[in-house]
Amino acid sequence: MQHRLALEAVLRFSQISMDRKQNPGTQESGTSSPGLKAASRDSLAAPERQAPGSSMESPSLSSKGSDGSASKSLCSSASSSSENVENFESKASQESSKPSPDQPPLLEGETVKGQGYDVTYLCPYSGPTRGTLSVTNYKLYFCSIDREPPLILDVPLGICSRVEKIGGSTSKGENSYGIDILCKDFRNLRFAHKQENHSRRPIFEKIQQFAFPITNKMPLFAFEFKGSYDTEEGWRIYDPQTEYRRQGVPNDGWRITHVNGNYEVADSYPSLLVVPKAQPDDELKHVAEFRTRGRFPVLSWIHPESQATITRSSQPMVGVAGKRNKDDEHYIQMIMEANAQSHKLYIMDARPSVNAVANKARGGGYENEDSYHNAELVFLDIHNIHVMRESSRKLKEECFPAIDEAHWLSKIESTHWLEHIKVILAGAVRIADKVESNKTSVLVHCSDGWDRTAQLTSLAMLMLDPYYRTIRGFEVLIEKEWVSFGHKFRQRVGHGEDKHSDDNRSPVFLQLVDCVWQMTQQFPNAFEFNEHFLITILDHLYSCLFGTFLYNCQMHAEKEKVKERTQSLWSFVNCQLEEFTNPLYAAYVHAHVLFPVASLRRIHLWTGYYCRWNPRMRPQEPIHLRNRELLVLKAQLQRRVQELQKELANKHARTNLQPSPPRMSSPVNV
Amino acid sequence: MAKRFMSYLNNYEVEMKEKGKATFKSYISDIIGDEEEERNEEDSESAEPSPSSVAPESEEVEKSASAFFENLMHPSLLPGEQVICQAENTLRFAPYSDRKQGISGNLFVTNFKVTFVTADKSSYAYKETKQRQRNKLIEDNDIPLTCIDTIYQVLSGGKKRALAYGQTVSSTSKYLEIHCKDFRIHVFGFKFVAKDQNKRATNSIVHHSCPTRDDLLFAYEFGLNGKFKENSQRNQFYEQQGWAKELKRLNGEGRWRVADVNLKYHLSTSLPEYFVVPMQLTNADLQKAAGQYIEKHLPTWCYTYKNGASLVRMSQLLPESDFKACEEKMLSAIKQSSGGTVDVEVMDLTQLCPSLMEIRASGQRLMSLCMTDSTKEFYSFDSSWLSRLDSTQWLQHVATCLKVAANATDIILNKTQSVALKEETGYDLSCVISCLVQILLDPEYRTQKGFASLVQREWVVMGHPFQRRSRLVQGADSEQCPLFLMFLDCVWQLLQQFPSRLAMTETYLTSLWDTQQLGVTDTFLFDSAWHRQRFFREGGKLPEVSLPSAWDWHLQFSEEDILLFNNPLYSLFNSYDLENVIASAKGSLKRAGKSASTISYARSLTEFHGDCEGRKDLFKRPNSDVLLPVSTTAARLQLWSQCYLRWCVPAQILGGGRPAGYLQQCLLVEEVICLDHKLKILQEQKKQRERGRDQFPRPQSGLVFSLEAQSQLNSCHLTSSFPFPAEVTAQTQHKLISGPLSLYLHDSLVEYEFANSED
Repeated sequence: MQHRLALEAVLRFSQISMDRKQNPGTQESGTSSPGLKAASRDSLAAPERQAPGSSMESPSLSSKGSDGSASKSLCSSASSSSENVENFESKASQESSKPSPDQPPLLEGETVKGQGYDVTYLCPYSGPTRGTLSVTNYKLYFCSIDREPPLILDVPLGICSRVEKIGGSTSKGENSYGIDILCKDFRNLRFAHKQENHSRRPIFEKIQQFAFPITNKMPLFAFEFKGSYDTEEGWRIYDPQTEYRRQGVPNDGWRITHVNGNYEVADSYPSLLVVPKAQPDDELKHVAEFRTRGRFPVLSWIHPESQATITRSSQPMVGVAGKRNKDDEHYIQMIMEANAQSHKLYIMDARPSVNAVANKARGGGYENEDSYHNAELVFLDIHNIHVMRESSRKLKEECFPAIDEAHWLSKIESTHWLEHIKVILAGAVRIADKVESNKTSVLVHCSDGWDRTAQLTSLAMLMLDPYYRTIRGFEVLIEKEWVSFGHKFRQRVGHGEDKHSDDNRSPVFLQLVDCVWQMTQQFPNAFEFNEHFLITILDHLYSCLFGTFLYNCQMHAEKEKVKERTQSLWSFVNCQLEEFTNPLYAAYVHAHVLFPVASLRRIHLWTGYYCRWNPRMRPQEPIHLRNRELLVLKAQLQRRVQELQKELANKHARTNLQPSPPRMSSPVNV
Repeated sequence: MAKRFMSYLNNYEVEMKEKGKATFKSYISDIIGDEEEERNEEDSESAEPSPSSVAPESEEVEKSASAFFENLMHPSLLPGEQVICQAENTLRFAPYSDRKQGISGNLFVTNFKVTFVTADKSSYAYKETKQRQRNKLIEDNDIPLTCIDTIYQVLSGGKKRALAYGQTVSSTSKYLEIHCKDFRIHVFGFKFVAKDQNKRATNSIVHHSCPTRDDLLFAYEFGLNGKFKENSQRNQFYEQQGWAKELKRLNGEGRWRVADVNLKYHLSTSLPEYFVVPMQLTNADLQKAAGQYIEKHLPTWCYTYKNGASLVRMSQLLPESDFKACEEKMLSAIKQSSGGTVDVEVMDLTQLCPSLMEIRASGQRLMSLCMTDSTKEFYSFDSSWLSRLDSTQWLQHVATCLKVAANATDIILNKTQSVALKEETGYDLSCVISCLVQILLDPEYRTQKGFASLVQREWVVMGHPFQRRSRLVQGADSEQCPLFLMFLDCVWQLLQQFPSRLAMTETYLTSLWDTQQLGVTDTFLFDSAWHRQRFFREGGKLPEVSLPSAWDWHLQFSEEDILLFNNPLYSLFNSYDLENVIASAKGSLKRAGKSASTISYARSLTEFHGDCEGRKDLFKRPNSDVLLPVSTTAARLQLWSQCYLRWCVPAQILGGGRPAGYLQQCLLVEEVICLDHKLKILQEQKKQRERGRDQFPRPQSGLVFSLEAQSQLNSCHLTSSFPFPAEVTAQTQHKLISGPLSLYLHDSLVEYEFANSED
């Protein structure tokens, strides 16, 4: 049993190499015979990768069983399955060890909901391939039967943005009748069905149903998922009190307030907030009244030495009439005064000034410098969610499936994606620079203060504070600035909803991760995490497997008991940290502020993410693997040196009575 | 002593500051410079009595200080170098300072360089920082005349014009902008320069930057005075045995032979005296055939792969030649020499590759794109950077060259078919492609020594006209072409794609490009072997004329700087015997994989969902020595920023960039080597207690952190331009809070002692 599953896993991995081989247009063909390479891969990889299918102790069983009763914990299922080994082996010899295309590996709580046989997957790189398409309550699983090794697709349904039928029963031509799936992760999938066997309708309906559970009044898969990770609970990574204590708060200038304890002042804010010490809670409510959705200015980060701060809020409700609010003005003054080093405050409005003005018509607007003494207002020119959505749509067109070789750079420029990334980074650099170099506090806001504001504060904090550049620190940063401060993940991503044209959707969080990736490229040894970590976060932003990114705000998540009922993405990450560690990380070199260069000379397209489905984009010799080898070698040598030292010390102790030989001085201090 | 000297300087600096503008002004006024200098010195000397100084020592300090300043106001000259003229009170503007921030000093034009000397302390302090990659032949801010690309004169009205070679300028310049082939811009202010000096300096630079004949180049004077012995170890390929040796190494003996038909260059002045041809062709055959080929570049051997398939290069046949008879005879001879079964694949590079004109235009666009001198200009087209870069076509041309080379390699490797590279002249793109093919095929050419001998053979000896292509003397514009740069860029792309398979670093490649622009090496100065010999014979009647080889890096760089050419990933995985450790590391990975059968589907989701990273490829190496496949997709090619953007101050990443990763790799490798060494000692101790350390001298990694003296690392700041000196403007200076390089050693396993170089 286990063997077969292992084999399946191996074959699944080989898909990548198959893609590369079978793409006739690429350079990659023709170095060595594909069969040879695949075989060597098998023999090498097989012993390393035992487990991957082990959660399904008996595929046929769990595919029939509709509830979670069939699945046990991941570890126990691995051992119990050994009983079936004999049984399997006889079966395997009959089947000549082929993986079973109609038995997808399953997570706990995952069940097969529908299957289509004789479906063709139209791979844009390696051409059409026939096989079985399975739909579970979590994913789409396609396994080809006409290729060796088979091509396997394993796609969480959460990634689907839109599912469409193509062609009708009268459509002519090969592969013109089937299902088209537009994905949120920069790819589309197309399956062709045979008109005559009527397999399309049931499959389409199942995909429709489980890709959009909210629309269909069903729970997201995160609530069905029964798996667990043997690690520190991911939900406990972020504790606001601990994090503020780390920053040195409360202190002389700032205090913790529970004024929003019941989410009455600002329902999209967390319950625990930090405000200037001199500000009484009662008056906070007056300030909140003057800010869109009550999101009054609160502390995000405080400089450990200068006490200069980054605070965040939503826009003031100035309106066309140019309303003023004494409480708000007084409150801003207090934020400035909490920093003794400077008699100035920067208000960084993330928007282009035109947009800020336009917001006045809707009751919003921006601070008038005349009313706010010693405050300087700066517009950072970051465009709104709609512009960004359009840009990412264009980017997807350029990146998938094929790229325009002749005009690639110009095409990328025409999407303006990198230009937006640059403007965001430049804004964050300005904030970090004011805080670090001028020791001046900065208040950041946009309109609502949950999109661009979150991008800016979290990036500036990443530049200023090395803690956030660790894996744990980054998790805290995301939990704090994004999840707890009410970035509307549900709407921006559109979890489980069949509303692909919903104009609340926007790649705001993707942009943040892109900006972080740009920073990791500019400072290759300043971050503890690697590219794989960032891609994993993005994958599970959409997958709906974990509860981390499911809701719009903390209040909502608490109401749904997310922490009790779902797993945290950070549990998944933290139980296998070595997979996400940057081997070049050197904390001591970068224990200071990073100022990335916000110029297109240094900002590159993240092809490892946007073009990752294209096998031609994969590096021949990935440098991160080479670097990781160095780290593994070092660890291995360290271990052996320590063992030997211990051994020698013991030996030495035993023969202690004899005069000891001259002690060798060692060249290294381990 | 050094400390005292520094304090002396500081006093001097304070003194200068106290006097404020008065001193500065008088200094740049029209009074004759030398007197002024003396006065300055007197001033500073009178300011000397520092309370802490003791009499006898202070005298000594004074003496050395005054010697220092005297030296400072004169350029240091190489043997044979002479000052042609000088412009006093010139201002040298800091890059990207928008001509607001300048240092006053004297500009000298010599027969080798344009150099600027100043008494300003900031430039002195800059030297003190001991930047890396400091050239022994030129100072950081010197401009070798051969490196000058274009000179722009800005008149007092603000009008800017390029000065043509041979032009005589009659107007005075307000600014002089010198654009260099190494992508750098130097700006000098001539506002305070006396009128006659102003014109003379401008004209001297124009005239001497591009002489009419090659024996007017500084290299000639340099060669007369220098005694450079050729390293006999290095294969130069000017002699018969050089070719014979290479032929033997590649098992080509018996099928190919070294022909001496061109002895004394009787046959062709563009081919070397010796070259390799198919065995069956006699000298008479060659003589007959040569006349049919353009520039007489008849098919010559480049390389034979293990399977017998060979690479050959040649020029096109003359239009009037008996096409068929000649080419067929040649090709069949090549076929015979490669085993005689498969026909030779002729690749017409004139068709397949961009033309020289296209590459030249592309190179010019690339230069103008990457070279900016004002922050405003830098940001004004930042948002259109990508489309501008696209329209230079540079990366597309690089991709084409790589593609053609990969195809040729594939034919040799997988079809066992010999390839003949055919090109109009036979000495331009053939050099690029034949080198690339050999680098892809043979690991020998990926070592530094092998790479050098490859370039020596395929470019220098086979007659790539370096002098014309980099226009060292006056000639047709159309002859100029940055072909060698394009080749280096191709190699750089390979380095990105195969990070552990080439022994050199990008710093090596960039330094090689700079060396070509230096104009004093035997290697990159001539159009052909014949041309080289003529230069030495006709120019120098004296037998001792000799020029240094570019491959002798010690001519330019210190021992430590040369270490920066070494690729840590290559040296670890290719030079050390770590088999044992790697095997056990592999084993432990497997064990980890097994014991954790908990690495379940639920854990490895990301890999299943499409990401292929992970443990599975660790320590896996391709079976083949060949570097294939090469990726040539536009999305994978990158701009070689170290070479093209290193002087571009606003694009510099302070404390980061590729060098940060490089240094961390160096450190990791150093740690691995240390640990391995320690392990060996311990194992020995375990066996027999007496022996140990002495028996195992610690292996030299040849990396930057293996140095005993780490003091260098402490004064060197890291930027993305590292190891090239980064000029940091005042605006960005406050952001340069990164620590010294020695920080890398902090907490590391590498033993180091902070060597105090003071006194």
